[in-house]
This record gives sequence, structure tokens and C-alpha cells, in this order.
Amino acid sequence: MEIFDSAVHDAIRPHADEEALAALVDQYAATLYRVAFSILRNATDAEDAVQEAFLRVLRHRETLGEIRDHRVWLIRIVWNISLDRKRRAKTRPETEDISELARMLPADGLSAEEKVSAAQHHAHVLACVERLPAKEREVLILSAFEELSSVEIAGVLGVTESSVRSRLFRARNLMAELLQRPRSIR
Amino acid sequence: MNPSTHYDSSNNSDAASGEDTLRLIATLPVPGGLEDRVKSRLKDAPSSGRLLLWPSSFGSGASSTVRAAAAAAIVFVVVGGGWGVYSHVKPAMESRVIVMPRQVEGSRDAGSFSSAGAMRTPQTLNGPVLTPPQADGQRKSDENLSGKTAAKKSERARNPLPKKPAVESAVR
Repeated sequence: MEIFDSAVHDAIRPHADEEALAALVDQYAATLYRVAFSILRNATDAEDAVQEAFLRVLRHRETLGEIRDHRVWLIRIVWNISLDRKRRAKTRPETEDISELARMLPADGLSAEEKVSAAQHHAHVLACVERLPAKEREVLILSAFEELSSVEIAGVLGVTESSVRSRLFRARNLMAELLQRPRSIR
Repeated sequence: MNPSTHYDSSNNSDAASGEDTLRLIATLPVPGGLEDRVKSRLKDAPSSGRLLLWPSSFGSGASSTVRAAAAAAIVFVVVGGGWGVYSHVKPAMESRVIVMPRQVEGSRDAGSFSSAGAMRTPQTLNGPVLTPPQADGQRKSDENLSGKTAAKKSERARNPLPKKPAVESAVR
């Protein structure tokens, strides 16, 4: 996803008005939704998180001019909101979310049997992701977003870039170990 | 993002297949009309997040003056209240005599448990019995005395006194 930050910056810096906020929504709502969805794994919850993020921006729009990178700032807001929501809403068991999401993932050009197999694989992968330590899991989830660089991930998580790299290294090794284990052991 | 990290090549395919799933999630289509819904909600929301909205009828200059006055009034009230509390509260005098509360007459058994006539006796241990020290002479005399009386008793037991006739005792 290509994002043009300069136009938004120019619109916001002079006056944080309605149009600037609308421009932010147009630019980043989709990205924020995907980030929220990657944590919450529920369309309604993800949309609520995006709306809450923009409501927070509206409340603090006086400070918009001081923000250097609006994209990272917004992703950080929606990231924290989503984590907070996930922490609070533990009403549904995790396995239900995983199986539902695995079915949602695109499987074009596959036979019915292959689709079932792909869904099972996705579910297995997501279950392994859930078993990762929180720090490694967060970096791995954010690294799946093509548009986010390691510097930007570091900005979202509030850590250094080297931390991001080392966590990602650990996360990938752990994931490989978990995926190599036979399913019966789990 | 693709940070240039190198990890075990044997794990490469497994980890990559895992990350493919996450990438699929990251590229899921966004529901249509998301931006419009967010914008409409932003319009409905109050534009300011302030809890206390200042009346807009005050001009900018007057507003600052009134704010200063309000701040001064708040400070005055807080300080005055604190001083009032400080001046009225006196430190309690330390009493050396413990005054027991007076029992109201007639309410001895009403509303309270009675002692049922029990006398309160402190629980004490039975200590050793002290015997006063005796002088040697006294002890010897006591021993002699006790020896004499014991001899008399044994003699009486062996030779009881002859019984006097009852008549004689009656004449006397």
C-alpha cells in the first residue's frame, strides 16, 4: 500500500481542521483497520477500534501539527487500542476466532479439499502465533505489513530498531520450531 | 517490511509459511464504506474533548481576567479551609488518669451482658510454699518433745490406766 504523507502534512500543519482530519481518515483508515484486525481478528471490533482511534485524534487535534509521522502515530494509537480491547474482551475462546479467521482467508483456485487443508494450516499457524511470547508475537504481526519498515515498527512499539530485529529473529525461529512439531504433541 | 535478518535455513520454509498466513491477514480486504462511517461518527462526536467548556460570551481579554480571578478564588477557598481546620483542631492533652466511663444507673443489665454474679479472680499459679527457717535449738527441743510425746503415747497404749469405779467418782 502506497501512502503519500506529504499531502496530509501540508494540509494539517497550518490548521488542524475538519478537512485535515477527513484527509487522515481517507489516507489511513484502511491501514488502521488491517492493523486492528490482525490483533482483534473480528471485523466489527476492528472497525470500532479504528473509529475510537480517530475520535482520539479529534480530541487532540491541536497537537496534530506537532506530529512528525502521522502514519506511525495513528498505527500506534490503533495498536494500543486494539491490544487493550483484546485484553478486556476475553469472552470468546481463542480457538473459535482462529478457525473462523482461517475460513475467511482467501483460497482462490483451490479445490474444496485443498481449501479445508489450507484452512487447517492457517489455523495451525495462528495457534502457533498465539503461543509466542507477547513481544515476539507483536513484532511478527507487524512485520507482516509490507508497508511498515523496521524503523516504523520500532516507532509503533516504542523500542529501538535493533530490538525489533532481534525480536523478529527470535519470533521466526520459535515459529519454525512450533510449526515443525507434530500436531499430536500439541 | 523485510528486515534483513538471517535465521536457520532449515527453518526457513516453516517460518515463511507461517508468515504467509500473517501476510494474508494483513492484506484482507477492508469492508466497504469504512471511511464514510468513520467520518460520520466523527461529525456526530463532540468537537472538543474538554470536560469544562468555558462560556464563549467572554472576550479573550476578559476570559483571562475571569480565569485568574477564579483561580485566585479557588486558592483562597482552599487555603482558608485549611487554615480553618488547623485553627480549630487542638492537639489532645495527654491524660495520665484513665477515667472509666460511668455506668448509667438502671442500665446495668439492660443492653449488655451481666456477669451472672461471677467473681473475677485472677488466674495465678500455685507457687512453692515457703517454710520459715527454724533455729537449731528450737528444732532439737521440738524433736525431743515429739520424742517424749511419742514415748508417752506408746506407754499408754501398752499400759492403759486402771478404770476407777463409778461410785467413787460419783461420791467425789
